[in-house]
Amino acid sequence: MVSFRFHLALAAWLIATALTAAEPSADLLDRWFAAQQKLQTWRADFVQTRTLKALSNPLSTPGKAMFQAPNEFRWELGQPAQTVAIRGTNEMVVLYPNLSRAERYPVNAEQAGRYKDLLVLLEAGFPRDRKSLEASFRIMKQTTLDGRHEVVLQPRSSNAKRLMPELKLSFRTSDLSLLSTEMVFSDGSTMRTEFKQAEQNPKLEAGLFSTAIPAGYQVSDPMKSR
Amino acid sequence: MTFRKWLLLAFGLLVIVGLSRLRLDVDVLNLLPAELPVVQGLRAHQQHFANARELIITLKTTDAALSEDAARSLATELRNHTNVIGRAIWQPPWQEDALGASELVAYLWLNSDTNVVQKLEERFHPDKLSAQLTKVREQLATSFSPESVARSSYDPLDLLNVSSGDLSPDDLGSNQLFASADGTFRLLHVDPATPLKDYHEATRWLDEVRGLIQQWRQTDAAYAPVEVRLTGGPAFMSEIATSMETDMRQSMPGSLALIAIVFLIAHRRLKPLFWLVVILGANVILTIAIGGLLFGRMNVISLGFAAILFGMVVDFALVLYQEGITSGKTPDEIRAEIAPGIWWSGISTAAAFAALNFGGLPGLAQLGTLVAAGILTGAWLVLHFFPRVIPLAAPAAELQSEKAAQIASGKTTPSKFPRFGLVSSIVILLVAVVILQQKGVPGLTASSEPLRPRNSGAYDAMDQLKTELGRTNEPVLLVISGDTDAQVSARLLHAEKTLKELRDKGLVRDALLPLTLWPQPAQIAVNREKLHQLAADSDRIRQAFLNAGFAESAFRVTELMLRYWSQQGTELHLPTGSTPTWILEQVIVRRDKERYALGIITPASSGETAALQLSEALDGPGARVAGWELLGISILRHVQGQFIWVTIPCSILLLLSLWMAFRRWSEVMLSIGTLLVSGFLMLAFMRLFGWSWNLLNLMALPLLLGSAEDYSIHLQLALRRARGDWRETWHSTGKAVLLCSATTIIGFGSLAFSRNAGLASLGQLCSLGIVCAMIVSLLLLPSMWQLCAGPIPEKKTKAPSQLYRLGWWKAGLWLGKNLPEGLVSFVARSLSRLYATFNSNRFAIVENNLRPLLGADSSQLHTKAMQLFNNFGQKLVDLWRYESGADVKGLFGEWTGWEHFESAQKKGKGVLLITPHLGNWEFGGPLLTQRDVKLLVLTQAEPGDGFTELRQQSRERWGIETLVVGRDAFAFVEVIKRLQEGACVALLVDRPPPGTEVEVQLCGEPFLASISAAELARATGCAILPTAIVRDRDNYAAHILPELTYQRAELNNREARLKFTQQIIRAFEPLLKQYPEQWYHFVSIWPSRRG
Repeated sequence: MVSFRFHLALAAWLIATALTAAEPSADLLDRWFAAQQKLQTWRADFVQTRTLKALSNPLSTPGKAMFQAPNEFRWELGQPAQTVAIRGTNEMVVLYPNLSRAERYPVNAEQAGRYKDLLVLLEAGFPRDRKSLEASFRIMKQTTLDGRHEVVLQPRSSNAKRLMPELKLSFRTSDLSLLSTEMVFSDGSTMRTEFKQAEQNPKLEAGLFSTAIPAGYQVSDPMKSR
Repeated sequence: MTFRKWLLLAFGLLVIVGLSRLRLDVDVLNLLPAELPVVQGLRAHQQHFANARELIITLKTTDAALSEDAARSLATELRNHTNVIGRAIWQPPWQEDALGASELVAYLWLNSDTNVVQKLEERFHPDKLSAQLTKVREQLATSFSPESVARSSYDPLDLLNVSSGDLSPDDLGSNQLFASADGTFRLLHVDPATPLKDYHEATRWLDEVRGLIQQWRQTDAAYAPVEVRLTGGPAFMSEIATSMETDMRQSMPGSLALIAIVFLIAHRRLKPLFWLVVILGANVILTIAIGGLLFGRMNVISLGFAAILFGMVVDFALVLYQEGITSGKTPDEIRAEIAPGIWWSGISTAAAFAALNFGGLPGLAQLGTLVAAGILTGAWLVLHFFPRVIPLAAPAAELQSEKAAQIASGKTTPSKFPRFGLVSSIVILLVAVVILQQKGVPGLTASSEPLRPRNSGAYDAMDQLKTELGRTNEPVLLVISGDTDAQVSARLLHAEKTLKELRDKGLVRDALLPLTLWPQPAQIAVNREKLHQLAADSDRIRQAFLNAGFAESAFRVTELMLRYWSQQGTELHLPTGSTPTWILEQVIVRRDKERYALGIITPASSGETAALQLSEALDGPGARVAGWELLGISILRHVQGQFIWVTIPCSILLLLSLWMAFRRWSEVMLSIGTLLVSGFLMLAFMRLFGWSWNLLNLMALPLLLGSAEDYSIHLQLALRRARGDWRETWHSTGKAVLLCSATTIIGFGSLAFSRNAGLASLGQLCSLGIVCAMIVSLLLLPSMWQLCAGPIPEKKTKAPSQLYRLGWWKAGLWLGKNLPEGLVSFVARSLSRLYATFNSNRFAIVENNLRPLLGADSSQLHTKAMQLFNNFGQKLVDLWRYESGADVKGLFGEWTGWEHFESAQKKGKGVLLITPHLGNWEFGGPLLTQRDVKLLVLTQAEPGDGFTELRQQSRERWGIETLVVGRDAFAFVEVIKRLQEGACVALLVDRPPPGTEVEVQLCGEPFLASISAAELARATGCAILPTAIVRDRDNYAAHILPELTYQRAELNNREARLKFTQQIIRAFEPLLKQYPEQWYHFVSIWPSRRG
């Protein structure tokens, strides 16, 4: 079963890496790592396509993603948003506006078990260099085609690997901006996110990353009840 | 083939059959009383519920992810070996196999409340179905929850979310059963591919599993630090069996070797040592065979029997050996002398062990029976074979003569017991008093720890499991049983109500009852119809899935559930898939007419009291509370209740055997005092070592009663034999007792190394008890014996039986007169033989009396001695009939030598008929009366008032006159006068009254005979006629031997009278040798053989 926190962590990391500025270099990936050091905020629209084995046709959903260094983000899925994920300083919440329901997840390092690797990733504030990336992933393959560089990664942790055997990310070679991510799940299902209209270091509204839950929401703590 | 050979063959066959039947019983519950509810509950749990039979593999690392990965990987590896592993579950099966679990959920729907199923039916309504599926599809596009996406993808109608009661599949499959809170500790539940029939299979299977684990470790270097341990049913079974086999392999030869070393150090003789080892080994084999025949299966506690037996039986051999190398007697004499002590101590010890059968613990009962049987067979083997291999110290005759001379001259000067013994024992006792005063008596532990193996990997793993999973309060199991589903259901509801009350009272923290899983026949009957209709709509539902954009795979869960419902007929079919079966087998069992449900209760507090309160509240018809904490306290209470029933028979048997051994209250009381002081000392040492009583070592008390009593018996009998001479006692028996205690300590002590905790504590305590008994027996008892008992006066060793009294004689006269002769004869002979069997002391005396006549052939001695008792029964009946006035003329048969009588009578100087206590000498009177000869019988006074007169009157009835010579100082003057008048006088010569005895030789041994005949000859010149009336077949034959001639004048010299007495005695030698079984002496008659 794919972890929700894993998705969030992965998305946040990908967003961060996508915002890295492009600089000419022989090694595209190293240039990408260098570029992300300059990133403070980031915003983009996206289309997420879920190709689930249980469905006869893929499902595409538009959305918006926002990031603020070092590790805050907001993820809105659906227009209008049907699901909103906000990662604040100390916790993460998932809101379901249509259902007036909210889930709360802690993000401290004491989380154990299958989520530990992903939480460490979150708290580390996304990989800033090759070393920190390779601490969690193996780089399996890199290809460059038509101005697009694709990196195929495999989680080092067996837990993460079991949930998601493969992760692909691609960025533009010219400006080192993130183009897409694709998670391949163990049952063959995929979740591909194509980013567009990305902005680097935009001014973001205050309170965008607040994890305060609106009044009238029913709140649950899935991690505690587990 | 002779009867003896047939007997040996049959015996050999029995041994073979016994040994071949023998199996090891590794079930700990078989050690416990089956009637206890807690034992019944645990047994039902073990027999019927899968979790009691599963192997649990625990994995521990410092990293939760690694633990999880290792658990998954190991489970996968194990599952690949389908020939070894039937099932390996590492996480809630619900999560791992949603499809497999769907069948179980379908069953839960079927078993649900009818209103809930009504709502389910509505979900499938054509109007609602499409809308629901469309809604779910939209959620799949926007949900952030991978779990929700996954679940909704394959179960869009949310059928897996069945509302449940107290115990749902989620509870059973919860992570609590598979991982610790921090995730670093994980469990795998593993089943074998085929059921394990016995411990051999369990051990083999575990070895295979260990091999697979090793193989798995090599698949990834990351698994190297993973700590893997095995526990659960198969591990316990294998471990207990292995420890039993190890105990057998190591403790038995070990204790035998130690005993042999002790013997070798003490005696430095190889030949007797060799035979000793052979006898001990043979005895253990014999006892194992008896165990096989009696029980078939030998439990973990019983295995301790061998070491105990070595320690006990070797004592018999050591006592014999010590006597042999110091007394200078022949093997048969040694046997005859020591046998009573060995038999009585053996019987009392065996009785003490046998009394364990009343202790309420079948495990200990079996041990007790085996040791009891082994002690008796061991006593027989040692007595029969061992005396022949003892090296004798000096020629027996020399020593005997020397000793006899000492006794005869009264020159024995017994050495005193050293004072230091008394002083040191008093010091030790004072120290004990101080210890007990300061620290109090040892406490009683109510734990079930003594039932488990020590240093057990499986139990340690289980303890770790409990700690890691936070099971600080040992869960208590509630096993509900019944004949029907409805009955169990009603009992579950009743238990639920009681548990609610207990929760309200704060006694229960948590309780899980399988109310949801247990079939509810009434609800099933109603739901079945509705769910059948849904199943019939399968095609429509499937089409709705496809129309809503779902693939075939999304319909799979729903399809499986619909199919399960369609298969339900009037009889309920529980799910059969691997996942549901695993979950159901944890808590419910429906087999033929057997129905069991398992509840798991967590008490609010830990400890025996909490468990006991639960038991009292919940135990009832069809409901048994079970748990290991409860087991300890329940069994302890049971044992405490039974303890009195062990102690009482033990004490009675102890008293009885002490009385039979000593027949002196002072010595009996000294033995009891020795035991009490030893016990007191033991308590002090226990406290000093920090030991406490537990449900198994409590049984050391009756064992010690039996074992330690031996020392007081052996020592006091030795003191008696040596007439209080401590040096002789020490050399003959004291050293042996020291060695005995050393070997018994080794025997019990070897149990202290047993892998079974209870057996080890029993061994420790018994060893300590023996040490204490030895200290008290060797240091304190001899002084106390000198002070309170002392040597038995000589006359007591010559005293007749207590049964030879007026009352018994009158009863005999009445029986002889009023009952048929055949009946009285049969009863008298039987009783006489019985008396001989049970009064080994008296029997040994008789054997000893016959030995000079028959030689050293022990089997002939035994046979003739038994015949003597049998004949004596018959003689008594004949006497009673004669003395009661019945017609006994038919008993008189052949006469020989009448002419000698006539010739003697013609001389006119009187006739002195002399006879030994051979045959029925009383019949001489009536025989002579028949021939008109009037007889004067010389007798000693009979014991007790009126007895002499009674017998006198009886003779008078036949015209026979009696003169009691021992009573009247002038009696002999009267005898002389009557002889001078030509009277016929009868005199017994082989058991002289004090003052008339002189030493002569009979059959080559010193013998005390009466000099009275020679004295009368000198005084009167009467004719001396040796006579005897012996029973030959059906009647009595009278034999009058030729007159013994003498020169009257020479008899003025004492030497000549002695010589003539010797001639008189020698005249009887042929008759005595011809009729030894009619020579009725029940007191010791050979001075050199008196003990």
